[in-house]
Amino acid sequence: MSDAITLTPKSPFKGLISGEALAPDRLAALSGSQLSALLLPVEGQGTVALADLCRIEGDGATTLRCDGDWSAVSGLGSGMASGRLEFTGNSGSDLGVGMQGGVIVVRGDAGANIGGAPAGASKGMTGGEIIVFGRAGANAGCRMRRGMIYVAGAAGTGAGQSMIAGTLVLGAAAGNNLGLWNKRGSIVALGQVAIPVTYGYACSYHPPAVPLLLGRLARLYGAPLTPAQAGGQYRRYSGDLAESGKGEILAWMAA
Amino acid sequence: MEIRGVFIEDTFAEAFSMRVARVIVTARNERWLRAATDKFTGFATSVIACKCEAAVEGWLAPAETPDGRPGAKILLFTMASADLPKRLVERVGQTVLTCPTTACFDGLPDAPDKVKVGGSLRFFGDGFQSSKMVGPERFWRIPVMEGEFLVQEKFGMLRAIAGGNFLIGAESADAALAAAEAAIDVMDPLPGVIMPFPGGVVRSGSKVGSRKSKTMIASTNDAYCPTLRAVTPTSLPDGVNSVLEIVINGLDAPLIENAMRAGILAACLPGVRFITAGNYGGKLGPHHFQLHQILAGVS
Repeated sequence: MSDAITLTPKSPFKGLISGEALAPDRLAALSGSQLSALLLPVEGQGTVALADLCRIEGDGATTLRCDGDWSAVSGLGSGMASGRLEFTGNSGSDLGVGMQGGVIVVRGDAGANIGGAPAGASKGMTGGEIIVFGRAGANAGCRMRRGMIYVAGAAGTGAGQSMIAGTLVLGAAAGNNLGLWNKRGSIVALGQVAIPVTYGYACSYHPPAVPLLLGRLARLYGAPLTPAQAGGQYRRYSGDLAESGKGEILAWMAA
Repeated sequence: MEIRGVFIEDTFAEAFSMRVARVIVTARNERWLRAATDKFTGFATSVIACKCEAAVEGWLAPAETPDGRPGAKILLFTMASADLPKRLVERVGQTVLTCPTTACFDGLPDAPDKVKVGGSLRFFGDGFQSSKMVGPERFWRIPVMEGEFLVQEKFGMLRAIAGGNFLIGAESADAALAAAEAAIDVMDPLPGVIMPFPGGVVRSGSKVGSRKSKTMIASTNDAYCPTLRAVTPTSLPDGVNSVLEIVINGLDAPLIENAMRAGILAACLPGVRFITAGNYGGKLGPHHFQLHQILAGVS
């Protein structure tokens, strides 16, 4: 048993790869030979053994480390319930869809639909935390039910769309359609965002839960957040009023 | 035993098992922090009439609190585990929720037993309240006219000990008070203990029951009242004209022993004649704090 299972691409991935099988809690139960033989669907190539795609180091660990560029691999960490999934570079789309627990940390950029719902499912992640230090693609946190997503860089369109609950912290600007059809989710926006017309302005205040959320992100993950953001004033918008109106966008008022 | 000329009686303090919660209160500044803690810990000297015993255990710098603001740790004790959530909900609801700028957190996160606090207070939100998970912990956000009150859903509960004590007998009321103040000054900063009476000091030590009334469960400790020396079987040596008591509640026995040792040593000042402790013959409380054992090796 080792501290972590580390996967390093032998060469840049060719074609899109479905990585739903790669979740730290599931891989921890596999032996080295089982890991090597794990088959992944690769666009145009059928299925390919993991050992043919990556150099594999370690086994039996609940931390899965993906070195290099994984932007061509979708669905990593799907449904994971525990453990830690780390990317030293970029990750692909559908990262952590249906995630139930554990932690995903991406040092680079992430693709679309992180923490979202698997195709056809009614809800996205139901627990755990996804931390992205770079940018995120479209629909980050779409239909998430619980848990927290933090994106330090810019987020694409439709972030927080159809959130059921949970928390989405956006460290920079976000695209249009932020939080549309949000039911009870909280979106903390630290950068420039366009508030949808279906949100109603409530007040400017110090939301007491924000220092706890941002403090946790800074303490546990080293997120680049400032005391001015943690203890600052926020404009609260309730929405989506086309839904129950119990959700919110908390937009930081930079001094 | 004598310490700096003060006689230490060979006796023990008799204490009781109770339940405790540690409440962290934060506020924007010290003014509003003290406003909340003063009210929270008011009328909480003895379970006999107040239903709980509570005091500030210590003050927290912003870096030590969950939300980065000035804070206080309060210990609240009750006799029964079922009473603890009731007292917490009453006091947090009436004295912290109502106080501008405050928030309220659990200070015993590792305690195996939990009681619901925010989970009960949330109903004040009349359906407008919302919960927020921060890691594994649930908090309730209750809308109030000022803005929003944040309170943790559950608070940890531990078994603890209440009723550690010692009595200071002195030649004068001034000497007794000076000794009690000196004791409290060194005991107040100690972690894990509180002295729940006013200023940490009791002038009205009690005995069990009453000579005159069957309904009173406690009445004045006439054996230690100097004004009754001539009319009651007294426990006061000649020359003692005033007695003050310090009662200590703590998270465990070693913490109470540590506080008693520090307090007694500080109280052995000029004008103090004796130090003793209150007990009921050892039949009521399971925890016995022997003064000579606590002070063994101290000169």
